[in-house]
Amino acid sequence: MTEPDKLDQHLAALFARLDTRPDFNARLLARLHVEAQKDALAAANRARREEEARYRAARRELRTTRHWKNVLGRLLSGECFGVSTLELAGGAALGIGAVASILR
Amino acid sequence: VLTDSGIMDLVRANRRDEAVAALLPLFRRKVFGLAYSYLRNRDAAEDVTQEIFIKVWRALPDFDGRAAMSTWIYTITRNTSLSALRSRRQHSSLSDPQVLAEADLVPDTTPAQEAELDRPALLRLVNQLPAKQRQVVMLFYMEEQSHEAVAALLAMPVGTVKTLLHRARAQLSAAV
Repeated sequence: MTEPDKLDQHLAALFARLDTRPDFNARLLARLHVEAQKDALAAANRARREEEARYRAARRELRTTRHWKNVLGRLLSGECFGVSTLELAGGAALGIGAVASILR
Repeated sequence: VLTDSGIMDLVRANRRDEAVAALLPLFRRKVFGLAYSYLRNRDAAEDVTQEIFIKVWRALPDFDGRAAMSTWIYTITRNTSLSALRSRRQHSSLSDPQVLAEADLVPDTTPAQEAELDRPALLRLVNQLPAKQRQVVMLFYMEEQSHEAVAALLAMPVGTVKTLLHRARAQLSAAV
C-alpha cells in the first residue's frame, strides 16, 4: 500500500463515520413540536391583543357617541325646558317691571 | 425518497413536521458535517444542526423553488455555522483540549496493524491546514470521497475542491 493510500485510509477512518448522536432525530422532532406550540401560543396572544385593541377602540367610540347623546338629551329634557322657561319668564318679568317704572 | 416538490406538497398540506422528518435522512449527516467543518466541535455542530433544521422548518413555506432544496439548505447551514462560529469566538488552538478530545469521539475502525498514525496527531495536522483546505479534507472523507458532493456543500467549483484537496494532501503527506 502506498503512502497516499494509507493517508486516505487514515483520513477516512477519522471522518467517514462522523455523525450526530443516535437520538438526534427524536430530539429535533420534539423541539419542533415545542416550537409549533410556542408559535400557536404566540398567534393566540397576538389575536387576543388585536381583539382587545378593537374592543377598546369600539368602547371609546361608543363612549364619545353616548356622551354627545347625553348632552343633547339633557338639553332637550323637560327639566332643562322648565329651567329655560323660568329664565325666560324671569327675564320677561324684569323687562315688564322696567318698562312699567319708566311709564310711571 | 421525496423530491423537492413532494416536500413542498407536505408543507402546503400543513404537514411541516413530516416534511422535515423526510428531509432528515437526506440531509442530517451532510448538514452536520458541514457545520462540523466550520465549528470543529461535535457538540457545537450538533446544536447548530438542530438550529438549522428548525430554521428550515420555519422557512419551508417561503421556499420558492428557484434553487434546489439542497442548495437552499446548504446556504442556511453555511450562514448559521458562520454566525455560530462568530458568536462562540472559538479559535480552537492546537492545545485546545476540546479539539484533541474530538479525535476520540469518532469510533476507530482502522485495523490495528495499519493504525500506526495516531488519530489525535492526524486531527491536529488537519486542524493546522488553512480553513478552506481543512473543510475540503473533512467533507471529502465524510462524503465518500466525492468532489462533487463537497463542491455542492461549500458552493465552490469542483476544480477548486480538487485543487484545495491536492494541496491539503500534499501538506499532510509531508507532515506525516
